[in-house]
Amino acid sequence: MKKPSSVGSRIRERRLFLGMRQTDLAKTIGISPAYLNLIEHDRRRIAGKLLLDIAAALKVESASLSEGAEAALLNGLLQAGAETLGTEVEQDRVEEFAGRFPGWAQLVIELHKDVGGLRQAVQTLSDRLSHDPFLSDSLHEILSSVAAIQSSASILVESNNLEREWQDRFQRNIFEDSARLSQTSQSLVSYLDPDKETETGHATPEEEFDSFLSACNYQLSEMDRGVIKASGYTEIIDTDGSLKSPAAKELALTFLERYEDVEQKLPLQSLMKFEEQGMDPLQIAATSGVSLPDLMFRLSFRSSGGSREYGYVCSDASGALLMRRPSVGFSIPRTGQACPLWPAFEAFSRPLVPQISRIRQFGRDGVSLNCLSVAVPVNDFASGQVPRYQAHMLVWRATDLGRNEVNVGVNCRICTLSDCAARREPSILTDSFDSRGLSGNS
Amino acid sequence: MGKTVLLIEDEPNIIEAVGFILSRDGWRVASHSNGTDAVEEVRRRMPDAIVLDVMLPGRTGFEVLQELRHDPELSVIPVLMLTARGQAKDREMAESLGATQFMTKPFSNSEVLEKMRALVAG
Repeated sequence: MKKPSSVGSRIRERRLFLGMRQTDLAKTIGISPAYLNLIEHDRRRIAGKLLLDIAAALKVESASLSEGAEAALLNGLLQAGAETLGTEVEQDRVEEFAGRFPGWAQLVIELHKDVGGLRQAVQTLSDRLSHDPFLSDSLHEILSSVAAIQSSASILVESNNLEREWQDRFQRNIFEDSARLSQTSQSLVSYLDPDKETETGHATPEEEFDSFLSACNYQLSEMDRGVIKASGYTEIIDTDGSLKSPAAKELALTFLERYEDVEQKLPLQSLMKFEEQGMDPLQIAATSGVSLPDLMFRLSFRSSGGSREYGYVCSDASGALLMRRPSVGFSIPRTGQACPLWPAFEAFSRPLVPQISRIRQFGRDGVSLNCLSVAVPVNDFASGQVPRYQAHMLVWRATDLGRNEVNVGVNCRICTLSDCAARREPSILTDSFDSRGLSGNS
Repeated sequence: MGKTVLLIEDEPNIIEAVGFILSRDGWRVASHSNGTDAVEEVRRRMPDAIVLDVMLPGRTGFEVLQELRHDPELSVIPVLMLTARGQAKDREMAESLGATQFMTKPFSNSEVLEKMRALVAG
């Protein structure tokens, strides 16, 4: 279910989704089926009026078909230039560079992605030490054992005429601490380097599940078409191999059950009708009777066919991200905490009140995003319990000029926004590694 | 010296080793192995100095330190905080809560003696 990467592939995929024959589409737009076939197999490039006609016939915006090779190359280069500090790039000549040297341009983009991946890995490692209780406890236990061994050994070596009783006691202590150190070290190694049967390449089941969703391109078209129910995915998950740990499989099944539940409340065809009428998410929720969180979930995880791509996060009151759906212009950290400026976290201060805002995430190529956020309770606090809230935030690309736009980041660790009152830790992109965090020595 | 020190540390072998070298240096050593009633133990013994580990059962060393510093009678007792090497945040936290001296694990015996003498000299 990988996303098509070419214009022709997108046209073909959309046509098949609508159940439209090639001859019918060709007739609608006034070209021969043979020519359409060449277009769908990327043997003819199209633009301008023909692209617009095809998009209209397929009931999508032309940008959703054409944002492929050329646009991706330009956007990737602009992003690399914006996110690489200390390098002045000739932004006004990016099209010339991409046009004359597409191979080199692609190489720059790939190298930039690699650097981003390495930064993420560094962040993951430093976050684990700070936020992983098992690692933190293990570290303390190891250091305590070493401290006891060092102290006892020094006493044995440096003390003259040490009484026999004390010699025996400290030798026994060294023996005990050595054994404990060995055991703790082995546990730590097993934790950090699990055996091949459970090795996933991911630090947590949540990351494993996120990768599963990403590989599906955040859509389950078989469920949208009613071909498979959530229960039918059990066997697929077990045999697919992309989800290895039991916890990740459990997360996937819970997600699928929710997907099925929300799909029944708002079938894809009904959703598409609302979208064709130009309704925004608030209007769709009001008209359909579906709750805002359910609608946000539905919009974010759906089959292709919509003219908009949505990004989505769900967070609990501690700031932990429970659900992630990145989109163009909206990156979400895979580990650690997100940017505290996100409207999702402001929603906790005004629960049950939907908020519309405009944001622009730093580091991207200037994509202005509409943002809908709301915090809703997840427990029955009418019975006297303290309400427990989860915040939901939906973003989609804005098409009009921004008003009161707020600059936000991905997270503090890789954000270079200066003078941010909400910053909770230094950025690794601006501070040396020796000042805090990785080297650790104060 | 004849001064008393209370070691608040849950690792018995560290208590034994550190207690040994301090007693050979003239200190009278007492120990306590959890954070839950550590403050009560301090109030009962009124030591001349305290060695306090960060990680304790019950309450953390930070919580104990914070309560000691809020008590007018106990706040004058100097505290040597034991932190883990590589955890700069622990030292920053201890500093902000009013620890007198710091020592990171693992440590040498000479470092322990040096820190303890500085603790009561100041």
